[in-house]
Amino acid sequence: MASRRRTLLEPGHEAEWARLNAEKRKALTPPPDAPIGELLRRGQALSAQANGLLRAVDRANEHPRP
Amino acid sequence: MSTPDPELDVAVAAMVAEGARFVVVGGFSVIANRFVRATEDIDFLVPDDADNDRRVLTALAALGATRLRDEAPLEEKHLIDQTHLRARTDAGIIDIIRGGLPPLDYDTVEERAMRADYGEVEFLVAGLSSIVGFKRLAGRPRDRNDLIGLEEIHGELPIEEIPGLDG
Repeated sequence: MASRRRTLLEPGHEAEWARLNAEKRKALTPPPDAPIGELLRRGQALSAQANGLLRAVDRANEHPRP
Repeated sequence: MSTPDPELDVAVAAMVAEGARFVVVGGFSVIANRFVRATEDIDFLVPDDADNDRRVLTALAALGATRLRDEAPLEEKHLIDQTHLRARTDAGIIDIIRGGLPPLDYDTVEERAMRADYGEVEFLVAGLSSIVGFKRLAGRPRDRNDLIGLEEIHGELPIEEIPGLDG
C-alpha cells in the first residue's frame, strides 16, 4: 500500500507554520529606513496586481471555455 | 538580499509554459474572491506528483529561483517528496504547497477552482469553499480577518469539516 506523503495542511503543524511565517516576515519586512516614496511605490504596485487579478477573473467569466 | 515584489502574471506564465498543474491559493486567491487586500507573496498548491514537481522546478528556475532558506540553487530534493518549498524568484517569493486531506487535497481544490485569464495565460485560482477551509485551518489573525472580509462580501461562508480540526 502506498504511504500518504506528509502535508502541512492539517492540524498539528503549528510550530512549522510559525517558523515559516517568521521566515517570510523577515524576508518581506522593509528596512526601517526605507523611504516613504519607496513604500508607496510598493503599495501601488501591489494594488495594481490585485486589480489585474480581479480583471483576469472577470475576463475568464465573460469568455467561458467551450 | 532584497525581495522583488510579487508578479503573479509572470509567475503563472512560467508555470503554464512548463505545463505544470497548480492552483493559486493564499492572498491572491482571497483577492480573486473579491476581498481586496495587500499580499506580498505568491502561493501555489500543487499535486503529489514527481513529474509535476519537475515542471514546477523548471518554471521556478526560469524565474531565477533559489531556496529562500539558504539561497541554494533549486534541486529536485527540495520539492520532490517534500511538503513545502519557498523560493526567492524574480517574480517575488513563491511558496509551493502540497495539498492536504480532503477537502483541502489538490484534486478537490482544483475541481472547485475558478479560472482567471491574463490574456495569453489562463490559470486556476482557489474557489471560496477551499479558501475558507485553508483560512480556518491556518487560524492566524490575518486569516480570521480574511474570513470576516469574505463573509461581508459573500454572506454566510461555506463551512466544511476539516479532518482533525472539526472532529
